Amino acid sequence: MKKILFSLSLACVLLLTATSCEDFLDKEITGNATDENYYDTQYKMQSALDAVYDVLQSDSYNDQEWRFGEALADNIIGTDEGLSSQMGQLVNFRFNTSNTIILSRWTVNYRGIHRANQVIANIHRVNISTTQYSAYQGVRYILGQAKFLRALYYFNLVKTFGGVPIRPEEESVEGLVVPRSSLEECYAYIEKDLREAAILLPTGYSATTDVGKATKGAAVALLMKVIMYQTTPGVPSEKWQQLKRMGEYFVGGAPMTLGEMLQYDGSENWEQLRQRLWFKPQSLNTESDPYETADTKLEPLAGVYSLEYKDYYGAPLNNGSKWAYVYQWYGDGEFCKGSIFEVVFNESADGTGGDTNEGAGIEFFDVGTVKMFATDEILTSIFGTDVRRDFCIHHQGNTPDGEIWQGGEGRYVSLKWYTPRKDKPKYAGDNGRNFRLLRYVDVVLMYAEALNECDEREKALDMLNMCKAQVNSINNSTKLYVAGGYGYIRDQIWQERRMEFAFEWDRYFDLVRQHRAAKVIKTYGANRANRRGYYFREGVNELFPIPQTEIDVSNGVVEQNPGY
Amino acid sequence: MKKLFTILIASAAMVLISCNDDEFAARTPVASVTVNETALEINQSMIIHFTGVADQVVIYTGDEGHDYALREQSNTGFVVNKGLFSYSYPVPGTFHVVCIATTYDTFLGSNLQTDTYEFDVTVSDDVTEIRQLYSSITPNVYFATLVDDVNWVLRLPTKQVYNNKELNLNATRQRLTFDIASDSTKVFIDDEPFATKNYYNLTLSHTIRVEAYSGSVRNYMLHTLFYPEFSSISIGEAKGALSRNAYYQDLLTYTFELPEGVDRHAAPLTFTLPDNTSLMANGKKLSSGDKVDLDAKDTYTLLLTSSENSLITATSRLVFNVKE
Repeated sequence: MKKILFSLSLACVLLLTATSCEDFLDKEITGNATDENYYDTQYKMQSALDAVYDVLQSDSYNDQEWRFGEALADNIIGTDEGLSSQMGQLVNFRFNTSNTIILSRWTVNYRGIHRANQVIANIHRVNISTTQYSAYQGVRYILGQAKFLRALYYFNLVKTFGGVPIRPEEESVEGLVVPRSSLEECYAYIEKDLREAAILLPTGYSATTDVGKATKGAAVALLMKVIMYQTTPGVPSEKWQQLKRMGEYFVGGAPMTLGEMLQYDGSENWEQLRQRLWFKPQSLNTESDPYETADTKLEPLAGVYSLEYKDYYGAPLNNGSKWAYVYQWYGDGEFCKGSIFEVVFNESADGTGGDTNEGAGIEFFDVGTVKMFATDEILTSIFGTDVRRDFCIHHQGNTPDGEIWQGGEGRYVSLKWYTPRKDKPKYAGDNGRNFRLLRYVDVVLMYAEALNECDEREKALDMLNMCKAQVNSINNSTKLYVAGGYGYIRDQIWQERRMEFAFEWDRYFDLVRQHRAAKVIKTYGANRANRRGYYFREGVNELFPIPQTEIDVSNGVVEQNPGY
Repeated sequence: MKKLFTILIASAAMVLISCNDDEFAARTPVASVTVNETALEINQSMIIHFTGVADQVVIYTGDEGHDYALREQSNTGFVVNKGLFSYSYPVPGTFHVVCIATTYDTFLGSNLQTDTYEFDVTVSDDVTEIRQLYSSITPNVYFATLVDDVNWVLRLPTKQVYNNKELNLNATRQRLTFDIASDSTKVFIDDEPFATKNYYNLTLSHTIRVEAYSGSVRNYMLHTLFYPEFSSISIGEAKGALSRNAYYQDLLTYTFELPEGVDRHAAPLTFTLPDNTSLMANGKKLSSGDKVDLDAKDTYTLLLTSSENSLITATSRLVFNVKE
């Protein structure tokens, strides 16, 4: 009996050991999507593109946007500025290379890049069963949006960290560690994406379900911003000329060809370029199909957008009342005439009608969730007597739809952060309205700045006053900016930028690219009781450190920024 | 059955043994590092590689908030993750860096042992370079230019246009702004400490002394020149009337009501100029009485050259607006 039991046990062990080598796992998968077969239709590719947009909705993305773009600068006071927290260390410029918020900004933008790369690297796998021009166009639009989004994510990284690793579109285990590219290489990469997106994308979408997707205007507006960030105020350069040229096209209505937008130099065969970018191959073209050449003119953007406070359909916002200005940021103002690109947060943003809205990041107007506020003194420094000051309300102040804000004595918040009652999200933790990421007034002011830098000051003042005249419509003011020399026009443009884009999470990076972040932020810090900003280190803090984990896991291949 | 029981017991023992920790006792810590530089400039990265033995490494950089001697008063060190640590100092001085290598038992982290490695770094601030020097005089900002290693030249108009009016520019009482990379650097104007709220007489030349924290000194001079203008100018009998440009302070427009009978292709230009000033046409000097072609696309400028230094110049661009 003992022997039998022993033999049985031994047999079981041997049998189990032997069968464990059976190759039963290596069976062909049927019915499941894999990375080999997933991207074979336009609709699946659209699904992959949705995932790229999805990052923009996430809290981890938006939390870093307001933290870096606004909380670091001089327009606000934060509710978390103590040195004991990661946030406090960040805004005091007393952080180290292991700061988790800096790591989050790095990680979330690379998440978006990775997803965009999936679309771009696999777009060639799409099979279309028709030779209709519109079928190619549909795929082209997806590619253009992915390129726009990838450029946006890289731009976020570059303006935060300087040159960063450019990830290969197709990742491999062997190539996980990628060294940093230079700042110039990164900007060239971003520009190429945006220039291609500008010829791929339409000026607008006809289907209402497509409104909110990136357009040609979005690509050109972001391209202008990317170009502007490569300039130095007061130093003439080719980049200022390029920015002016883009302004002439976007605002002034000057024609621009596909070749000029692409900076096409003939090194790539044009037909190959067309096919790489999903223009319909020439060999398949019918007589009625357009054939795009390098000399083909881009669709004009002048007239697509407007400085006026009008909704998507062209009707005055809030019936043209004083509050029309601030309604640009509300539900009524979604995709309004002045809005070029928005992060779509509104319920059902994914088109399914479900509660997939993730973004609680911009919902901090309510009592108890205020993360930043301004003071009377700060508002005076931003606006002086400008009417836009009225769109910040004080403790116990009324919102345009009659809510009373109880945020604490001495505190002011911007109504740009407010969600009207009728727009409030259905589900807790959601955003009830979209975030305006690119606005037409930004394009006009960038154009004005380029004109001034290119010694065309009269035109620069005209552009600046075009923006001011629109603001004057709020209270029938006649006050305009006045003529002056280079520095005076520039300072007026910068002042207008500060007022117009206050509390839109752009101030910090705008100061850095103006090459005056140290001066402004240190001055601000010197006047604050907690001296927040005073420790800004010129020549160092304009860029943030590469997260220590990236240095560590790459064994130093990814090099740290100077000064850290 | 007994054999089977023995096998099971032996197997269980094997499992338990495999969980045992061979390094129950803490290793002996060794604090040793290599550092790229111990004589640093402000904001220059100090890169430390830990080369010793430790379960945990902490570095106290010795500056404000990170002083090892004050660790009981909330001063903190930086945890080193993978043996690589980089840091830079925002202020000059000498700082005592302490590296703490710690080992401990893996069982609940007890039996801490530490070793320290200490060294000093000196951080110097030797900035004496002026990056920008300018004066904001509403509605303009006037930037001085450095014409050689020493001389800054500030060029001002005698009048500037503001709200469509020509207003005298009072150069005797204006403020200056210096843009210098270091906050520790001190500036002296005519041997007096510079202050942003002080007014300076810009019609005079000034000595500028820039003293770095390290003690290095660099001397500059600030000169002011006014964009030159004609004392008088006429074409034939027609006197030129000067108007200025709100956007370009160096651009002067002279308007003439040309009488009949004057040959536009050989118009006599009569003018008087202040000292050290020349009228140039396409880079060539003109004299009063020379004839000019009013329809030619010639470029006219007035060039003022300092009698002290030929590099110190101011040039006005001229437009002759001739009406008949």
